[in-house]
Amino acid sequence: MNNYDYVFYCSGWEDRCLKGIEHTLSTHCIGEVKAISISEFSDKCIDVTSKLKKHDKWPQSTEAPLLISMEEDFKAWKKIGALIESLDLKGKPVLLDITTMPRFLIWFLCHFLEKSDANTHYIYYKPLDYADGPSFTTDPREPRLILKHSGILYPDRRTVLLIQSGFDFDRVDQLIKKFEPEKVIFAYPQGNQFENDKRNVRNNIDKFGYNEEQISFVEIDSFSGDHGFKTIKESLVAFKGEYNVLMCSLGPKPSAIALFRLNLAIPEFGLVYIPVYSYGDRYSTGINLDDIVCGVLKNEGH
Amino acid sequence: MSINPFTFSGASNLTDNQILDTFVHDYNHSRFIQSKRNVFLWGERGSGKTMMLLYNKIKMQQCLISTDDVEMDAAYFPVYVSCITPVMSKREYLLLENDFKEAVISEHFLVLTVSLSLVSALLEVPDLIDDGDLEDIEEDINYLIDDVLEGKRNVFEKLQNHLTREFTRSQKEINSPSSDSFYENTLGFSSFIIPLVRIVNKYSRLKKIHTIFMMDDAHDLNHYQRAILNGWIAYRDNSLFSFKISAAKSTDYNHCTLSGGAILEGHDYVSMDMEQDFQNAEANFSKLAKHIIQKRLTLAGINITPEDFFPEDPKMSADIAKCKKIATKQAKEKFPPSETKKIADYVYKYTRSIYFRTRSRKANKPQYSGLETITHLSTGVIRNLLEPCFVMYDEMASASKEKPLPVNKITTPVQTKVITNMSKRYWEHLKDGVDRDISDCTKEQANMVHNLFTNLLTLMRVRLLDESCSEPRAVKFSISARQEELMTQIKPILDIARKAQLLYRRLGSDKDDGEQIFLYTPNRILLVARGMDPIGQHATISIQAKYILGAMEGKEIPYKEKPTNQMSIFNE
Repeated sequence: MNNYDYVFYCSGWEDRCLKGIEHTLSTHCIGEVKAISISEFSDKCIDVTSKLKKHDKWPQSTEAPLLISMEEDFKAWKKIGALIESLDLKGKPVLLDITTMPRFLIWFLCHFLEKSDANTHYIYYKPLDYADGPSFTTDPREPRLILKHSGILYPDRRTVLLIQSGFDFDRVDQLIKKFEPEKVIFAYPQGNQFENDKRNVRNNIDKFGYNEEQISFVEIDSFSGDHGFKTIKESLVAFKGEYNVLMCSLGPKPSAIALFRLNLAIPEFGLVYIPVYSYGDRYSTGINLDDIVCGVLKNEGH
Repeated sequence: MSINPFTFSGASNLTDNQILDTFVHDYNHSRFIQSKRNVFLWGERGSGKTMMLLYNKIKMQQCLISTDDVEMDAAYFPVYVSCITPVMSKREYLLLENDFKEAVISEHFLVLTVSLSLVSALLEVPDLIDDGDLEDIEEDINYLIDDVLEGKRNVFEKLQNHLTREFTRSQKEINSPSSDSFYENTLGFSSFIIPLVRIVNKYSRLKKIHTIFMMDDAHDLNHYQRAILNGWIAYRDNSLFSFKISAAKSTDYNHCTLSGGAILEGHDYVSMDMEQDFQNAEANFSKLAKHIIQKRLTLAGINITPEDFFPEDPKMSADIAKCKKIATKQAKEKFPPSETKKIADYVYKYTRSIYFRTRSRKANKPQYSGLETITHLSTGVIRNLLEPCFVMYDEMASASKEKPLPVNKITTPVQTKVITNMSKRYWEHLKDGVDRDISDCTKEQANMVHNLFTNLLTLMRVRLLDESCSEPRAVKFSISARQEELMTQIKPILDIARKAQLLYRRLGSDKDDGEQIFLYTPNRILLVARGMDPIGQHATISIQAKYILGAMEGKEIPYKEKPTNQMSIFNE
């Protein structure tokens, strides 16, 4: 059991949103719950507060969710910045529940929590299973560089694109069309969880019709201690100073933490996000409480 | 296996020699590029914009290097600027929440990009400047940057390093954690680019040098940068420099400047449409297509004409010849012998429609083959021309792995198979939803796009098979009765279809009243899966906006059996 002054989470509709918070409350001592809700999805999100307010460990001081827009992410940035600043988090223990957070929000919060010098831990609850193919996401929008973590880029350099991929391939095409990279490195999941050997990008690369010379693969374990940081860094470091390097997280979310750490270590490497406006209702099912991923954001090993 | 002569890689991935080898002149465009006019080149992906710019850049460089005529009038110094770089995707300026600062920082990155490209261009043409002038140039540049260039290298290499350092410094500043971090030492067009251009002019060994900034894929600039670029285009004095700007037609490219004015076609710039309309073998694109294929075959050592390399199915040719006789007989029964033009028009309109109409229902789909078919399937876009050729060649070459024989022609079954499979893929893509790869397209909009094409092609097929239809093979349409509230709903769907390269749009004039209107052509590859004729005819179907919207919502487009006033013939 740990003590946290705050836990930050994002409102969602998946089973593990509510059950994750419930589990966090039951197993840790939480001062206050800070919910963030994405306005584009708020109508389908579970009202966690009304479900949990009778929980004996629910902090009664909890306020309504902070509503932000994914579309106007620069305004979301300012709102989140103002929220974090108002809490005076220097040295305070904080838990970041990334389970149902879109990646841009993970990175925004990581940015401000790092800036505020909070003692930030993160937690991720795996589902029992993921949906198949078309149920994942639709309505992808134009890929975006992450504010303040967009890298140091040059117009006379070619681009290397690292895509930490999962089973959702629609967004991969968007990325490649937008940035026209010379090289694409897929960091794909190892292991056979969720039928990974059939569903991962390496075994489905023919669907994309890409030039084989353009593409390479590295296998990572998003659920290991470093979430693939070392492997990804090794695959990219040779390009530093010669190429524009962009990194996108589309697979399991703990690797978004790895990419954030890599951007901190090598600010020249930029982070990219693809807003999606429609998630399948059956994006995932259940919650796996036997294999919870957690860690400390400021991992000095990196 | 032999190398496929029909590779259609993006032009920016090709070497100079590859560009020179494969580029085929379009007879009009180069004279616009190599001029002092500001020019917009409009065209979708694959229409050849980048290839056009890069080819002309190489030719202009060669001219500069080889000439001894220091007084030559047309001494063009090309500066190629790709706007599709990740730098242009940076969005930190949005955090400034101050229009002025947002514009200033946006201009700064655009100016840095253009400056770096200008310096790279100078390094590619080293003889343009005499070595003896380099010290004076360095002095002028030091004055311009209010600093001293560092290092021991050539002045332009030092300037290149300086600009690269500026990129680094600016980005580090705007990336710094404070939300409103702003870089104070920004550069502007008037304060930096114009003085640089004047330095080039002053020291160039060619006295009348004119700098051409080739801004490629300018639609990828942010809205400030586009407005700023428009302001540069509006610069009154075109003697020193001009702009050649390529942009996608399907984007709403605004011609306003930052100050709220606008640049005007004809006055400030001229436009070139890279997507070519064509309807017969004599049209420019047909000639261009044949030249491109011929050149590719010659480079591959295949000494065969394009027509023989892509032969038409002999049975289909024979059947069409029979239908021509039928059409001729019908025309002669309908018109007196003196009406030779009417007879010829009738034969032109109805020969192929008789073929498609009278085919047995039990017959297999038509054997889509032949250079003419492939050219028409491209719908006037070069990449659409090369892609099926590439796949066909690959198919033939793969079939002969064990006996490595040269590919001397593409058999008609292979042509038909490839074309048919491509058409099926396009329809599958439509059915799956174009939202999967067009940004800012919702699932609902993707469904509307699918509905539109389903109902449009149903209409075109009904017309093709209708004996009484006056223009049975028309595959272009225009929109009439364009009420604003309807067009507000229609336009976004059409724009998505254009971005997805399912629909092409060109400007034409209504023969009846001369009004300039948009003419739309579905990507002709779509017609194949519906068993229709991709070789359309020189005519346009006029469809009311309410029926277009209805089609998008899943309703059939009404069609009357007998021709009505709605059907118009357009000449482009």
